[in-house]
Amino acid sequence: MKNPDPSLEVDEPVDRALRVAIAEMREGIAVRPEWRAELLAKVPARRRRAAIARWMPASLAAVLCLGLGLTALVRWHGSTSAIEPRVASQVRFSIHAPSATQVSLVGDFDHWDPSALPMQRARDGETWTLDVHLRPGRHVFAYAVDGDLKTDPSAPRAVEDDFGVPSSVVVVVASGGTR
Amino acid sequence: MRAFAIGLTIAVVASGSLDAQGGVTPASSPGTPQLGPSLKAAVERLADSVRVLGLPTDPLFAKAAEGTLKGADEQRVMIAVRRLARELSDAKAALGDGATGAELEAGASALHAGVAPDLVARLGRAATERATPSGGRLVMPLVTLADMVARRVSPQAAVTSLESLISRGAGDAQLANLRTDVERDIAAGERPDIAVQRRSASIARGLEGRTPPMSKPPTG
Repeated sequence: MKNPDPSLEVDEPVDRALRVAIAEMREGIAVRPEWRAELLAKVPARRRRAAIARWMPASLAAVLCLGLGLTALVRWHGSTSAIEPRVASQVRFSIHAPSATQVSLVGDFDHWDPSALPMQRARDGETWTLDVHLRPGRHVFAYAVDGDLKTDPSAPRAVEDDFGVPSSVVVVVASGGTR
Repeated sequence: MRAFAIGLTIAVVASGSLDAQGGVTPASSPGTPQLGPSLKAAVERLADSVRVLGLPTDPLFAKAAEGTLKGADEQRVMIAVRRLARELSDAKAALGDGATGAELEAGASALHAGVAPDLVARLGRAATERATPSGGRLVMPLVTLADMVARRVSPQAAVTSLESLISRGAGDAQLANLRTDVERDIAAGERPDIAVQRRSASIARGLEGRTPPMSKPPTG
């Protein structure tokens, strides 16, 4: 058969050698069966690792966003809105009690349970503080200082004194402040 | 899997640090471990009947726990608890079925301070008419009323001042300011009714200055 393109004409020996080489390449490379099994066993593992490497940043970011999003949602609900009656505003309670060994916050919000809201001694070593989320409204409270109930000197006294021991009042305003 | 675990850890750590900044939240339904068995049973019986009336029962347990912590005997505790139940019922009669538990508690505190039920109802109507979709409409007016009356402001003067401020659009922050300012003035020697009139007039002036005056239509 005549080659249509004269520039591609080649010598007969070269042509034969090329045909042999092409035929060998088409047959593929002979691999021992045990090598082949070993190779195939490694391929899926590499694919899994590649998939993890590809998805790790995305999954990390997704989980982080989910966690922060939920936290933000909870904090938003607990901040200022008055739409939901159970929203809460943060109130900082503090009392100066340098010689006390144990101070807790008691009030209608924790059913006057001295073990429910223990206060922490501040860095000055003399003041005890606690930040508490309270829903808007009026709350009656006191401090249990080494077992004795004390009112808050900076807060108004409660009008209801049914038991002869005074309490204090904190009013949480729906807009987030306290009075 | 390892990636998920790392991400979750970071998220929890981030949440924890934010929560640490945010303070603690009391249990939504705190128990009453300090109540003796007989007192607890008596309060529970009363709570059952109060619940049927659609009144909140949590304040009753809180009151019983307060009395116990303050060393009152059971008889005295139950007198206070029954009185509170009656005040909650009267508050509901004055404020209507739509009042929330917090509003009923605030109404009960006003009644406890000596405000007549019809004045509580009057203030409740005024606050409801000016209510905004933000809700929580009655708590602060009633709390302010209770505290001012407890400081010897006459109920009539207190309700009139609050009605006036609410009709001008005063919000919770203004009412809370009124409450603290009046308390301070009384402590400084001012007569209670004069203090509330003067302070409420001052707040009303501030509210009027906040809104642009309406332009008069051209005449002639």
